[in-house]
Amino acid sequence: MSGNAIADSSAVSLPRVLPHQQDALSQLHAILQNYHSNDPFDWLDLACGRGQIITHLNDTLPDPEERAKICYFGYDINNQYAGEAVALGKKFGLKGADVKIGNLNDFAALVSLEQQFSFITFTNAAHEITPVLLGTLFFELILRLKPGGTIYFYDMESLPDQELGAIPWQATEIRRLLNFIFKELGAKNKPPSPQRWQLTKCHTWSFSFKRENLDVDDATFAALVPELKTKTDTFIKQLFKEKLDRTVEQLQDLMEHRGTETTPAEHAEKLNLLYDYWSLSQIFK
Amino acid sequence: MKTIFISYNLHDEKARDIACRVQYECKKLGFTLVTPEGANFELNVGKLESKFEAIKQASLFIGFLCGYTSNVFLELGYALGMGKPVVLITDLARDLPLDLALTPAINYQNSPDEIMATLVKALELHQKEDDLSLPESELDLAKMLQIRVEYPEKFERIPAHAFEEAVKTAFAQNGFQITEINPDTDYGFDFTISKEGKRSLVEVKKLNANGKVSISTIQQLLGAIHAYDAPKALLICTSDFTGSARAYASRHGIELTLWTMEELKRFLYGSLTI
Repeated sequence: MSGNAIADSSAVSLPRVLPHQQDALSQLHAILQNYHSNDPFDWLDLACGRGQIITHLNDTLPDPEERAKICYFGYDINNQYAGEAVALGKKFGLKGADVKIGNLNDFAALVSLEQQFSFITFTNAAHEITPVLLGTLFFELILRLKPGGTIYFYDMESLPDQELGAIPWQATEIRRLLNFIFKELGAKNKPPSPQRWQLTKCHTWSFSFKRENLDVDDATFAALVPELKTKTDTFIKQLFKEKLDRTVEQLQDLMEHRGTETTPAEHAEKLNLLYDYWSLSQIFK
Repeated sequence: MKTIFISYNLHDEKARDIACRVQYECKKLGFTLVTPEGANFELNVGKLESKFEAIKQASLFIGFLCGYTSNVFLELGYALGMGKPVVLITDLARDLPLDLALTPAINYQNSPDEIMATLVKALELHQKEDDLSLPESELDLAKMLQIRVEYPEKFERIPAHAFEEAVKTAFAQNGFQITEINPDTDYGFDFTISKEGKRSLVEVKKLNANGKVSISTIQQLLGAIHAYDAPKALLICTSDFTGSARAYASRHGIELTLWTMEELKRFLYGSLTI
């Protein structure tokens, strides 16, 4: 599988708060209301873009004292966008705002295990990385999660504007991945169940992983991670090989029934499948 | 029990005879007939109010418009004002106000048998419409399927969730255990059914008559089968599936069953199961 990430697709400022941004910020708000420690509240915004989430921080967290608890730490490949995110953090009176520039492949190398976070967001970016990297990142993020911390994941099942090389995950695939990981770890708790949302142009998914969801202590987890990464890589490859096979089947069936499709939806689906076929076949080259 | 109001001139013998026969037919069809003679309209005190109240309660108004019938015109006017369906027996067809031109009318000059034959048909139709005009929450699947055939436009107006509920109820009545899921979240399926240890995901697609389920819905449901460890799934659609959707589903025929309304009807009447 290729490890190359495609270019950032969604790093644009939008004037209105999107459902997933609202969802993430509402969770942040709820957590902060119960955060009474004098230590700063460390928030890692992975693949932060130009700060699409914190753009709306002022509306969701109107209390300056609450915002002043936050130490914002963005991580993104784009230097210019990262600068904008830092500027926003300063503008909203956060306790701290910093951005690390780097590729998601290098996250584990660039962000040390000593850096621990109470809240981590990873939104609109899973489709931009090679699928096995999502598993690896998930483990690396858990290793950097403070006790009681939360990771919020969100992405689209299909892109409203297709991009060559993008590999979106379905909510059902995320569910299978989480089931696999929890089972491999011998966790007694059930994994978080991804929520699926219907937006105007696409379906999306999200889930929140709370550290206490995973009833495996930090030391045991850290010891299991190397083997778990290998197994998860294999699982994800198998998952996406199945997906590639199903995509080929669907394209064959569409081709055999060409001229008989009667729905505009099916025409759009054909294009989506062609994009999927290209992206999926690239990772198995 | 629904009531039918019949209005005629008490001096009209033919109308009175027909009203007696209508009463008999109403009893057979489960309606109560309110006639000027049967109801307590003789008292002057509150006479008009009780008539109007009876018309208000009625689901159908039958009026004999012939000869001296000013009372019938008054009651007919009230019934129309209340939005009641109306059937007229009249020999004044050419003299009726234009507003009544589209009102179903039977020629009063026909023989009583002919008039009755037409009235019985009207009553039977009214009974059927009456059955099908229940609120969606009271319509069962059999009635919804009947509406789909006889009143397609009305079927289109039934909300998807009401249809889904009716399907769910039909499965429960056929001995399936239903597992509900959070309605606020889209899981790619609507609910699960299980019987004799066999579990299936069920997705119900209520589309307009020209809509078709396409290949991505099949793919989504197949994904849900794997994600929710279900051995199989059933996809029910009120219209049809595209050719490619059917072809793709047939590749996974062990896991996935497609039903249109024909199969659903057969299931409902016991000649098909999953």
